[in-house]
Amino acid sequence: MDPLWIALVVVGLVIASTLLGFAWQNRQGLVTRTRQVSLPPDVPVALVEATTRLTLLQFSGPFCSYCAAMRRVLSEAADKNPREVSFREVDITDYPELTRSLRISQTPTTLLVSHTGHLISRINGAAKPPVVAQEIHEALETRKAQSDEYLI
Amino acid sequence: MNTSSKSSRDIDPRGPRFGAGITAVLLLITIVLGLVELPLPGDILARAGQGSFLQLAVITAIFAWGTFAGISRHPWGFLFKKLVRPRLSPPAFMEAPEPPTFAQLVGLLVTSVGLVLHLAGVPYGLVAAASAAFIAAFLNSVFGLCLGCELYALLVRARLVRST
Repeated sequence: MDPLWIALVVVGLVIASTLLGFAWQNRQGLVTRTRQVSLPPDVPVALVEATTRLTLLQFSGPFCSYCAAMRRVLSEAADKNPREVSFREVDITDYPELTRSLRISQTPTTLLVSHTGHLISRINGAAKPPVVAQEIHEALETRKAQSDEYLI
Repeated sequence: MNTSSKSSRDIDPRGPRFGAGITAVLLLITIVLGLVELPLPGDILARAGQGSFLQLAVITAIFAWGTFAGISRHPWGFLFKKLVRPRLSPPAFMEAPEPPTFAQLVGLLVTSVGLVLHLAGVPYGLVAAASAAFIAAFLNSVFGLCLGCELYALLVRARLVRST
């Protein structure tokens, strides 16, 4: 085979993998917020801590390279505000039905859930502590605004 | 599995990434060899004696070692522990050995398919399999992305993996 062609294949492979890697890196820690509130809970209330307003629910798997890192970030974030925020972790293998209803396609996926089991926002993949802190702040504000509406 | 407990089996996550880098370079050389040695000889014994086949066979054997002995006994892991880790500061977090061991299994399956295709005389079979394995090893090494591990969540979602 033509050496030029071989060089093109090699360079092409390296470039393609690099682009894939950047695409994946951009999606890490991506946050999606739920705007509309549904009536039935999104998450079984058994998985949610009833005593705090917000539960950080991390979905982990047996083959998950960043779950340990995310676990540390989330438990530290919960420890900063233990009266309002708690941290729970579940294994997707134990809840395969939830991976469908909650559209979980990677581990770790973190859901910010209200004590009523309603999904407020989700963080796909591993995220840095400031992103997590911002989302916790945002989630607590959202719930506060919603509960104020009920009072009116 | 208890995901919340820390255990002493945990490994430095940079070890498997270092190993994946070596594997990626070896795979790239295999791809070049595989393309140079085209078209495939008609005789199966001649195909089995080709450099690209032998090199992919060695890589496959290393993947098998990593899969069955576990990532903590991986040959590149020894190299990392002896040569690289003493020069590095402690890692920010430790990693369970299961994810990179699972990745070794995925690598083993992909490269085995390449070997079988090559023996069967399928043109570009070896190159295609080595390319797929290269992309996974490159992403693992450079970006810390474990493709095999990402696959697992999708397998659970597709109900192909069930809780035992």
